[in-house]
Parts: sequence; C-alpha cells; structure tokens
Amino acid sequence: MSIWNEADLEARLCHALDIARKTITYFATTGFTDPESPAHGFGPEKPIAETAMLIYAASASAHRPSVESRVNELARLLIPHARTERVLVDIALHPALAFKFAVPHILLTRLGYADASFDEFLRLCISSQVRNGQDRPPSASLERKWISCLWTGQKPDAGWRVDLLNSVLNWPIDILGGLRDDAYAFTHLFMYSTDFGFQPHRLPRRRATILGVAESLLARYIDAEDYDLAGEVLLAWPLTGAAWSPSAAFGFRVLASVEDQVGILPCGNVNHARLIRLEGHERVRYALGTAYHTAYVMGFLCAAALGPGRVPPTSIAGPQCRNSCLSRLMRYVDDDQGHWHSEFSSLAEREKGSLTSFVLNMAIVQKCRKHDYGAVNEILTLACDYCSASSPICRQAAELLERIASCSVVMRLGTGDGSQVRAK
Amino acid sequence: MSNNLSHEDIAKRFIEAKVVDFGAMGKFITELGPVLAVSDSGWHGINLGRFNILACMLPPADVTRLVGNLRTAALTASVLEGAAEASLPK
Repeated sequence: MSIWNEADLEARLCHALDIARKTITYFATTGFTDPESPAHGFGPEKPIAETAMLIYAASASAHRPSVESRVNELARLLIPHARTERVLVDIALHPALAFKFAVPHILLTRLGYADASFDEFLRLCISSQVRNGQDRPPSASLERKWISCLWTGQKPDAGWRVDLLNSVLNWPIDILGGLRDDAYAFTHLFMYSTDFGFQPHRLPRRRATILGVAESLLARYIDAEDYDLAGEVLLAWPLTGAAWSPSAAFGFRVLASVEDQVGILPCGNVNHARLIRLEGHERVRYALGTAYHTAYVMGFLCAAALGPGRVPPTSIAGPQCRNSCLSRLMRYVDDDQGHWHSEFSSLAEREKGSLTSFVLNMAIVQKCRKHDYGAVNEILTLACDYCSASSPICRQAAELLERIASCSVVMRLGTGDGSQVRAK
Repeated sequence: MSNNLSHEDIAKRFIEAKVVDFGAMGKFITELGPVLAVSDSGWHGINLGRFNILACMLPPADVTRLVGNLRTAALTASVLEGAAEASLPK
C-alpha cells in the first residue's frame, strides 16, 4: 500500500513551526487581547507552553535538517520567556501549579537547553506541603505525572495506571453529547501517556476499543468543521503506533486537503469581515491570534506521522460492507456543513466501500446534531440489518433514544398513553 | 447498560422506543436550544484570566462558528504570509 509522501508531511510540520516563530514574536510577551471578543484572548503562558510542546514533538524529526534548524531557533526564542520573573513568581505563589508553569522550562531542558538555578528553585517549590493542594481531574493528574517524569527521569509508577483507569480513555466518553473539554481530555491523554510518541503507549483498555471511540469522535468533529479536535483525535493512531484505519486515513486526507485549500488548517473563530477591516500589525495579530492554535495541531499530527511506520496511507483500504448498505446510508447524510464530501466523492468505489463505518458514524452524528431522532432510529435499524451496529456510537445512539423515550414518557409528549410504554 | 450491547438488544430498545413521537421530541429539544454547549465553562472556565496556560485547548467560545467557505477562510493564511519579517513589532 502506498503511503503519504514524507516530504509533504515534513513541509506541513515546517509550516507549523514557521507559524510558531511568528506566534512567539507577537504573543510571548503580552499575550493576545481581543477588545471585540474578550473570550478569544489569552495570556502569554498559553502560546509559550504550546510552542514548547510543538518543538518537543517535532524534535523526533530532528534528523531532518529543515526541522532541526527550526526547532533550535524556536528553542532559543522560547528560553527567555520560559524562565521569566513572572514565571518564577507564579511558581512561588502557587506551588500546586508549579509543574504547569514549568512545562516550557522542562521541555527546553529535555531538548538540551537546561537551567540549573531554575531547577534548584523548582525543587524547593514542589517540596511545599501544598504541592498537591489542587483539585485535578485524571487528565490533569496524568499531565502532571508526565511532566514530572520528564524532569526527574523517573519511570511511570502505579499512579499512572490509576489515573488512566479513572480517565475517559477507560470510561466511555460521551460521543454525541459530551463537552469539548472531555474530548480534549481524551486527546491529551494520548499525548501524555505516550510522551508524544517517544514512549510505548500505556492504555487502560485494548487499543482497538479506544480507537473505535476515536473513530466516532472523528466523525463528530469533522462534521463540526472543528479541525482542532479532529486533528487531535487523529493523533491517536500515530502516537499509539496503530495502523491507520480507513476512517483515520480518510480523516487525515480531509484535513490535508482543507489545509491545502486554505493555506493553514483553519479554525471557525475568525471573523473575516473584521479581518478585512483591520490593517497592518493589528490585522496580523488578529489573524495569528485566532489561527495559530489549529495550525499547531497539524504540526503535532505531522510530527507524529513522521515516526517510523506511522505514515498514513494514501489510499483508503479496508473490509467492504455490502454495496447496498453504503448507498442506503448515504441517503441519510447531509451536505449542509463539513468539507469532507468532495474528498469522499473523489474516492474510487472500493475506497468508499471501506468507509461504510465512517459514513454510518457521520449519519448518526448529523441526525443527532439536528435532533432528528426518527432518522437516528432508522439508521440504527439499517445498521442492525447489515450487522454493523456494534460500534460505540451505535450503542450510545441506542441508549440516547432510550433516554429520550423515557423523557417523553415523563413529559407526556408520546403519542401513546402511559400503558403502552415498557415498564422499568 | 452493558458495553456489549448485542444487535438484538439495540433492536429491542428502539422498537420499544417507537411508542414515542421522536419528531415531537426532536422539535422540543431543538427549541430548548444548545444551552450546555454555549454555557460550558468547564475546567478552562476556572482558569480563564491571568492564568491561562491551558495548552492545546480552544475554549468553546473559539469554535462557535463553522469554518465555512474555504476560499474565504484562505484570507487568514494570505494575511500571515504577507507579514514580512522586517515589519514585525519591536
């Protein structure tokens, strides 16, 4: 099977690193304040930490000269911002958050840019009695363990498994109604538990089971044109060393195609009318402030995909469902949003056939988004007819219908009277 | 509910659920509006403000809009490409 051109992946990674250089230049000192949309603003710590993570992930490809030069240049740009007085004071005042503030310092140290006096100070602060005085969900707890292990060189201990067992990598994530925070927890757990692909994966359940969930989430976020989360979900395959499933391979194709058409992997937060109104530096600041993050995600994805044996395939190949199944499912698929349709249409028939599960996931996602539960009902019937209904999203959709039915009974919106409803 | 729901279990559940007018329920839920999605403050909500170190996350406020037309979206990239090094802020 032919694989994606590595030179193309490298070019996309370098593009993300070039965006990072601009991002640090503009935002590493004062962050980004958006007077029209204050919720879009961020402090300098955010892009500094994200850039540190990006160059850390990219360093796996440091044997490629174009990547190595960019990683080193960015590291040198980050150094003064990673160990500022502000960072020192933040750690001193909030030792429970010390490891969060120290992420750039620790990653730079791993890349060969150490600072012994900062280490000494950090050692003092993390010995504080309040070092664990913060409420941390499992993903935050694992993040802390990950960065701590990178700093100390210690191997993961039993606490990792406890966090993973309590996390959304073990507990089924709500694919249809879950929050973005939960999806981020899901994706970030892959990053931390594999150390961005540098370590073998530690997963609380069978990898195939978790990737089945990832496939369902992929459909949701491709439908939502949320390329930030779609890209992060796709990381699950190269970070765990899994062979790219047909859905994942197609997802990568969609993101690459969108990036090619736009020039950057886009995010829906840009107000284009405003972008046109602005001028000069303010225009660049606004474009960069709203766009850099999703560009980084493509960088992370390509960095992971450049790992040995982790390059996505160019063609989509997999088990075929009966032809009639796909054509019947396609009747339920809308084209009112999303940018995947043209890519799907361009596929050979056999490739489309191997994406039946993707189309099934997408149909369910779309109909749930529109609250068209009658259609969800029909899709599940169809899936049962073709013995394709055992995926996580089908099970969750069936449960959703059950809850809505029960809700309806309570609200007395059903067409029948109470006696027709199955008793609990 | 078991993780290992069989095809038959799924069929049984939605057949029984057919006593419900899904159309009416769907309309009702749509009219309620996307309360949760918009009001989600979540973990990042606690951390907004000066300490905004939530790496690798975009708060929901950032993705309330679809990307939309890709030709329009390409304006962002053209702005960034046009930002010459010489004109970067001091």
